[in-house]
Amino acid sequence: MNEFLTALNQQGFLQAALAAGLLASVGCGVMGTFVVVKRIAFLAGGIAHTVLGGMGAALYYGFDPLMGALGAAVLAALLIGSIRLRWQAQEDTLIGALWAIGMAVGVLFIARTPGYATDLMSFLFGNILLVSSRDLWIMAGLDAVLLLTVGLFYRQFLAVAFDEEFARLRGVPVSFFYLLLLCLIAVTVVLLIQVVGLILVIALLTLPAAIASHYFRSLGYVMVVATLLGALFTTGGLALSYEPDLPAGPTVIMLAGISYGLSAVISRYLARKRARRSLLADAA
Amino acid sequence: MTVVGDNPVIELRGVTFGFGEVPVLQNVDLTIRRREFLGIVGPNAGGKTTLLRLILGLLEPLAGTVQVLGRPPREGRSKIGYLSQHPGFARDFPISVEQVVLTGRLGTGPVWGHYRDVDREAARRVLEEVEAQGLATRSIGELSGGQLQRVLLARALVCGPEILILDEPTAHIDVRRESDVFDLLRDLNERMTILVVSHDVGFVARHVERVACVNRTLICHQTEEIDGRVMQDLYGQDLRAVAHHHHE
Repeated sequence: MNEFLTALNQQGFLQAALAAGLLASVGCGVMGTFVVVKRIAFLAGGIAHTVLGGMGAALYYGFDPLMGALGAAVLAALLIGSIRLRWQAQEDTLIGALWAIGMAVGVLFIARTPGYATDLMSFLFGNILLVSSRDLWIMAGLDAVLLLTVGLFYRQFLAVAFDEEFARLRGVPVSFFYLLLLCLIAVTVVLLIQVVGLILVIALLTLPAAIASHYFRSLGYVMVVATLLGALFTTGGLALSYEPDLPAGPTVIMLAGISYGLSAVISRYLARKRARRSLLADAA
Repeated sequence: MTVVGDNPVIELRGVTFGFGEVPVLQNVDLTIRRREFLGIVGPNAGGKTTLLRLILGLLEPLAGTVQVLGRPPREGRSKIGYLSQHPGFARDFPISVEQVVLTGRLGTGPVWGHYRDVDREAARRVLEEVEAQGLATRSIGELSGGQLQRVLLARALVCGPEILILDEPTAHIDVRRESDVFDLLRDLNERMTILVVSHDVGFVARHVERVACVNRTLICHQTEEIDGRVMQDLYGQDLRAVAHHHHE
């Protein structure tokens, strides 16, 4: 751990990696909370995997993969959102198909792009150590868009996440806010891909918020705590992986996964204890 | 007796609806006047909830017209408070009772930003009215079925509706509490029109003025007409078999 701190002081790439982790945790806390409470992890997974298509196309045509990812993510969000709104009966099949087709498109493009074979691994599993300062600025900008949008329309997002039908009856344009929510999740996916890659995104998107929701009963608290947990996992994963020279992305995910498992056991135990105490108190 | 005004607040004319090729409602006419207290009964899958969803503009009729306060349902429904039978949320959603009730204030005030003081004041008032003022800071996962039902009633009331539509409001409440709910509804009926769907014909008949029996078609009774024989028939298999002597 000491070695990591020393290196952090001296190495610019480690500082950039740390900053990327912290910037990503904002998205993972705020939007991950919506993914967890609205139970749309599968949908978010579909968006994440479809992103490979955009990255591959960007590489092939020679523009910035980050921009390709962003475009593909938003397109996937709108497509998947429309599927969910219009063809609910086949939602699973259609999202699954889009998921695989997006990846297939990406792999085909990458195969046709000379000299980029190594990039495939870093797209899939992340390479936080290669984040450039330009990437960091884009990530900060995306965070700003997320926070501003959610801040302005927090009531509508909460209402749509909680009870779509009731929100519609109160005059909230539910389809619009639902699609906007998915677009923001798509933006978050792109943020997190910088850290853990698109295969592992779904864990970082859901686990911090899921842990926070074990203990906090208000959406706002869950968001704040999930952001802090996200920061803890990305920073911790980076530090743990440095000395033994492990890939950072999977280490971050292992840390988040183990924490989630522990939290699930502990929160269950606490809930049982609480229930027992309240039953005994009622009986007395 | 409750004073009944002249303007119809809800009017259905020749409404037909079906899912796919399955007919659910056929040629339904219904006129509901201001401050009426209407009970809607009928067998399961007879079309009660579908009727409500047509009035709310959540479904479009295949034929016929629906008007709410003289306008299409999508425009008129902002004046409707609605309590659905199966609310579309998970009980473990991290949200407090006050926040749930406040969602009923959406559509009033500015589009962006947070709830205003008037919204919070309105939420406090309705929670008091349904005798749930002590629950405001609880999370919904901690409520009993009956408490949740009161909170959802508060959510329906917080927009100051002219019409209150309740789908099985007593489904999760024990029998002793049912009377309390209807006492509360009678008070609310002083200032708004109320439609209540219930599976319990006898209970509805004791509390409302007029009953609509829905089983693909719709037939109305004044409750004083519901004698022993009609009651027996209503409980039976086929509500269309009821001998009807209509006022309208």
